[in-house]
Amino acid sequence: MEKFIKMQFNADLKNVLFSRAIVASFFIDEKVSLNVINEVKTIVSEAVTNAIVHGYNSDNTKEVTLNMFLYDNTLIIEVIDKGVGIEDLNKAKEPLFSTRLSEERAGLGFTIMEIFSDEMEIDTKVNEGTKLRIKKFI
Amino acid sequence: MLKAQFFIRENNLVIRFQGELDQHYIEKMRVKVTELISNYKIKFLIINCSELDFIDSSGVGFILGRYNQIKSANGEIVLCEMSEFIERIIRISGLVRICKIKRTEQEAMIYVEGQNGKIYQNAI
Repeated sequence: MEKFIKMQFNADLKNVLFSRAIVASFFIDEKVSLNVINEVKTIVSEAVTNAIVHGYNSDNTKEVTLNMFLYDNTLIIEVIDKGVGIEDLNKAKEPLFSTRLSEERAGLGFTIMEIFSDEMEIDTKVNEGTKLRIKKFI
Repeated sequence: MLKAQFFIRENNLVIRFQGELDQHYIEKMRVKVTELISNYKIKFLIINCSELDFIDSSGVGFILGRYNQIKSANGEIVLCEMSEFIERIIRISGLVRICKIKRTEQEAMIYVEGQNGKIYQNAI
């Protein structure tokens, strides 16, 4: 394994900026294009925001896990929460669908993550949580 | 971090964002911008993205929300000075279908003046 980072932080939306900064730092000194770094930052921003807003209903005492593994030319990103879980995964992945339309949500988080990643796995169980595992060839 | 400069002239609002537009920073910004649009009866919203370093789907939601706010007044949103990556997000999200895209703020202003002109024309 070339490089990995594993971290837990509290489910505060302020930490989404922080998690994007971690992504930028993770790629310092790696020969990765700015475009790819931006794509990874966006994936992480979407996934962490989802964990906080949907998984934990913005309860900032809860914990979000963000892991990144880089080996050969493959990046694995894991974002894990132990929140409410996704009831209907197919609906959740539908573009423009949102369970919180009144809050001005675009319903595009999964769409954007899918476009920027090569493989995406979602492991979710109602009231137990959600684990997002994304593979991206760098 | 997100900062914004606002310029209002007649029923046009220009917003120059500085920083990153994500869920956290949008929350206060939304209240401020919604108020400005409502209080000044804004019809045309120009968003200058030259210092916008990041936008995700929360930012897209914010723009969509403002579009919904001004469309009943036949308003439009013009996005200008976007970096390549910001423009990519705008295209992926489909915002390109409901917002006008211009290279510079000047072009955006010229476009909006033109649209204002059209509205007076129809009123005759």
